[in-house]
This record gives sequence, structure tokens and C-alpha cells, in this order.
Amino acid sequence: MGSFPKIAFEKELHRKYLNRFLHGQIPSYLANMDTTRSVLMYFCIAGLDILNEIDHIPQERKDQMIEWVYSLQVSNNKELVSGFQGSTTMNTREVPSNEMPYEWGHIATTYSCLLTLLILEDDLSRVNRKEIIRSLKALQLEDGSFTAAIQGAESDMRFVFCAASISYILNDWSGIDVDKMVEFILKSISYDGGIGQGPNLESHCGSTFCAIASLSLSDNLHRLSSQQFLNLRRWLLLRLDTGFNGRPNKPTDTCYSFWTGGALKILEAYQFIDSEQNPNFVLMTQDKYGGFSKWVNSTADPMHTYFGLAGLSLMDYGGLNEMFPKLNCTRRVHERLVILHTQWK
Amino acid sequence: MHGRLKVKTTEEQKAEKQKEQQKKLQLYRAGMKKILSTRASDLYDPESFGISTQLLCVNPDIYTLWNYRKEVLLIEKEESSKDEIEGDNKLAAFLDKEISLTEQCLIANPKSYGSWHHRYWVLMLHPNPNWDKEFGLCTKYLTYDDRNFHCWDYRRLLINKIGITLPAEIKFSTDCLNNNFSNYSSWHYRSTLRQLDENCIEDELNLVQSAVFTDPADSSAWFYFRWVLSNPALSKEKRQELLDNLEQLQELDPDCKWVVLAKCWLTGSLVLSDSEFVDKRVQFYKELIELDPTRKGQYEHYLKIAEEKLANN
Repeated sequence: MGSFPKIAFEKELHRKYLNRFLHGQIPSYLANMDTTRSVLMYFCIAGLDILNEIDHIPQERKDQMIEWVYSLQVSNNKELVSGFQGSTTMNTREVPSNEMPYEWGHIATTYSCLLTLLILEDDLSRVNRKEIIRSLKALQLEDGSFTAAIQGAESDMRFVFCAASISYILNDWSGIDVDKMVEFILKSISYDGGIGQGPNLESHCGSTFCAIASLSLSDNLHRLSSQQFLNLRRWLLLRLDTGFNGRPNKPTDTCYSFWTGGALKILEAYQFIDSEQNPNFVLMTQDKYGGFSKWVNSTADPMHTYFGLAGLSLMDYGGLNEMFPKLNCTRRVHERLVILHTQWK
Repeated sequence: MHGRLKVKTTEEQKAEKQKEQQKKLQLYRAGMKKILSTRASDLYDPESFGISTQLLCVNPDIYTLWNYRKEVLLIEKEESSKDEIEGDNKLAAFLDKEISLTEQCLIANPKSYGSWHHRYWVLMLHPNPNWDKEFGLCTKYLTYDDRNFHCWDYRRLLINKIGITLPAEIKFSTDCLNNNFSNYSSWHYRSTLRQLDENCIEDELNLVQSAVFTDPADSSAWFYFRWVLSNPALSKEKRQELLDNLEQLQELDPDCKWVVLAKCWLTGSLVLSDSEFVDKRVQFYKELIELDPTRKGQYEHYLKIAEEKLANN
């Protein structure tokens, strides 16, 4: 293999890039993220956390962001719709106390809002934990999978992972029939050893990560047979090309440096790959104005910036904060969560 | 987005822009308010419904709007059930327009989870769904993008509706693969159609073997190959024959890691007697360390196990 030229890691540019978004300078081509602005915020905050920059955000600014996230919380004891909304875009009420139609939490934004609060060092004391878990319970389907919102949406492995993460963060698994969830995951293992979005669906590193992380978060990794375990490792290890891809014969993509890499970490197989050449692909997707993009020479976005940084952190590159892969956050944040859990007892 | 020149914004321009944005925001909020205000009254309001159509065409990821439309469609169904003569036709006409909307959204974004989900939901509500037409569209779309997993998933839902026979679908899968061996999604789809047993294992082996031997560097078919190899219905003689074939393939293509990997699978725990071939496997892993240095660590790990076994033999 030829050696790649050394590419500089532009940490400072990435910090600036993520901060630009946090200050509301969102480019027009990302306007369709308006209804999921909390996810955008999560990618920026979580990226800054990997860059070890959270301490440099003034407390006042953190408080503002925390307040905004809490403003997205839906607490409703009539309908099982508690959780966090994607943004205020859908809200039309003029009087804050009035109940509003279609004000529903979404499982993915609930997950990302909880993590954002944790990263910003909030103690989650204003999170309506009981109602969220009660609503979560209503989202699990007969086959063990989860749908995203009470009025219906698709159901697949992504939302299984969100459900498992929410339960892990809130330290309450009473909203999930864990046996059914595990069954769903095991049924989704494909002929090639990887895991799809559901039974009979094509293996994909995103869904494979979600599945393995959910097993690990719920302490069920041992439910994989040794053969299943080895097959998963093999399929994932072979996803490494110049960087990681998400499916065989698909181009290498920055975000899989985390999805595939994180899954390999959970399965304790990351050490089997050569990590010296590995950062190069991710570094090549840096934008000259900061941020990372999906491929080389394309436009950066916060999602790929976050996963690029997370991927580099898994490679132990660039002095970044260490990841806690199964929850998709830094070890620092997880340690704080563990302390919160002891306080809740 | 690259190479765009930065223009300094004067305060005046800034203020003007802000005013413009405020105006847009007000229009948007008014639209949303109009839509959402109709929920409580249980009445279908064509104006709100129309606004939500426009919004979804711009952004099909607003799941709240899809759910709003579901409620409207359910009201329509309820209403149509009161009209015994014309009810079904009216409902069908209404839902056909909804199907067109999802089509528009999918043309704009073929990976919109919400649009795929809504389309199937609408067809399920339809008094007279044209599953055959849907199936035809699905087959056609797969010729444009044969890796779109949404479309493959959709196909799976449809085959249960149109009552297609398994042999017909297996033929479709064979055609797909003959057309393009290197489509991993087709191999996956095939794996969900086949129960490997002594009746079909030779056919499957022939199909996949011709794929991997045609272009050994292409990763697509190797996992299917491994899957066929792992089946106990495959005889020992056949496995030995395969090993010989792989040796020949390696002579033609000495740098291909997949060929050596397949030899490891065949002689390893998967298949042929483990201890008989352990000395060979030691050799294979050494070759792999050279051929595929990115995964060196893994091969060294297996090499160590094989060498320990050899020492104990």
C-alpha cells in the first residue's frame, strides 16, 4: 500500500464551524433541517465535546441552550406523546399553557435532546422521566421493534437504539420489553453475518451499530452465539477500505468511521485494524472552511463533522476526548451520567 | 457551495434581509397554524390540506404533516362509508391523489423514509389498491438504483400482496444477478428467498461460483459464497473440489485476498476437517498478512491460534 501524504487536522477550523451553527448561521441548503433543529444542535454540541471545547462555552450561553432544549419537552399525561420535539417549528400556540394539537415527542429527538442536556452539564432534573418512559412503552411494536412517534412512523433498528439509549440514560428499562427487543435484533441478523434495519433486510453498518449497541446497553451481548459474534466481526472488519463503508461495494463515507468503528469497538475487534493509515480518509474529507463531509471534495455538514470527529477519536487520533461508543457520546459525559444515576437512587 | 465569494453586508442590507425573513416566517407560521387548527374540529379543510401538500413537497421529512394527512384520510374514509353507491369511488379518487403526492416526494428524495411509509399506508387504506401497478413501478425503479434498500424493502411488502410465486421471484433474482453480479443488494435479496438444502445447493453454488470466479476482486458475491459453503448439505467431495478450484484461481489472480480468505473458510472451522488442514491455514494467514495489511491484526490473531493448534497436533 502506498503511503498517503500527511494531512493536517484542522481542529480550530472545526471548532469555528460548529460554533457558527450554534450561533444560528445555518446555510440555506440545510433549511430542511428546520424541523429537526435539536438534532443539528446535538451534532454541534457533541462535536465540540469531542474537541474538548465545552468548558470554553460561557455558562450563560450553556444555560440559554439548556432552556431552549427544555422548551422542546412535551409532557402530556392524556396522550402518550411525552418526549422532546425536533424544534419549535411545528408549534403554533400563542399562550404557552394551552395544549396544542400535534405536539408530540419523537424518539430520535428525545434521544438527542437528552444527550445534549447531558453534554451541557445539566442534571436532567427537569426531565419528565416517568412520562417519557410511559410514552416509550407505547412505541414498542408486537415484533419487538420501535416506531418513532405515537401516531405512526416507520419502525426499525434506528428507533430500537433510540429506545435503548433513552432507557439507559434515564436508568429505567420498564418502558421496554427487553426480551422482545433482543428477539427482534437476533431475527435481523442476515445471511452475511451483518444486521439489517429489521428481519430480512439488508445488512448495513448503521443498523448493525444500532443493534449491537442496544444489546450492549441492555447487557445482552451474551445473547449472540459465538458464531454470530465472529460473523459480525468478520463482516464489519471487511467494511474497511481506504476508510469505512456502510455496505459492501459502496463508497467509503466519513460517518461510517463511527458506525462501523464503534460497532467494532463494542465487539472488541477494533484493535485488529491498522489505525495508522486509517485517519487519512477522514482527514481528506475536511472542508477548507471547517467541518467534514461525506466524501472527499463535497460540502461539509454538522452530521458528518460530528461522526468524522467521533471516528478520529476511536482511532485515538489528534488528542480528542475519548468516546464511549455504545451510547455515542464521550467517556467524560458517560462518567457524569453514572454519577447522576447514583444520585437518583 | 465552494468557491463562493464573500460579500460584506451593510447594516441596511442586513435589516432588509431580516424583514424579508420575518415575512417568510409569518407566512409559514400562518400556514402551519391553519393546518393544525383544523384537527380539533374534525373537519377536513381543503385549504389546510393543500398547504400541507406544498410543505411536504419542499420537505418530506416533516412526519407531523404525514400524520396530519393520515387523520384527514381517515375522516375521508369514514365519510365515504356513508355513501353506499359512490363512496368507494370517491375515496379511491382521493387516495390516488395522495399516492401521486408520495411519488412526487420520492422522485425528489428516493430515500425519504416518511414518504415510503406513507405510500404503503395509503395503499392499505385504498378500497381497490392496484398492487400490480405498484409492483411494476418497484421493478422499474430498481433498474435505476439497485442499491436503494427502501425500494427492496417495499418489494418485499408487495410480493405478499400480489401473490407472486416463489419460483417467479427467484427467477427475478437470477435475472438481476445475471444482469449485474456485483450488486450486493441482489445477493441479499436472494438469501431471503432461498432455504438452502440438498435440492438447490448445487445450483446456488454454481451461480455464486461463476460470480466470484468472473471477478474475484469484487466483494459482492463472496459473502453469499461463504453462506453456501457453511451449509451442511454441501458434500465433502464438493468442498475438496472447490478448494482445488480456488487454488487454480489463485494462480491466475495471486493478489486477491478474497480467494485466500475463502480457502481459510473452507479449511477452517466452517467446513473441512480442522486438524487436517491446520498447517495449510498457517500458510494462508501468512499470505493474508501480506495481501491485506489493513486487517493484519486479525490475521495475526488467527495465525496464532492455528500455530498453537499445529504445535499440539
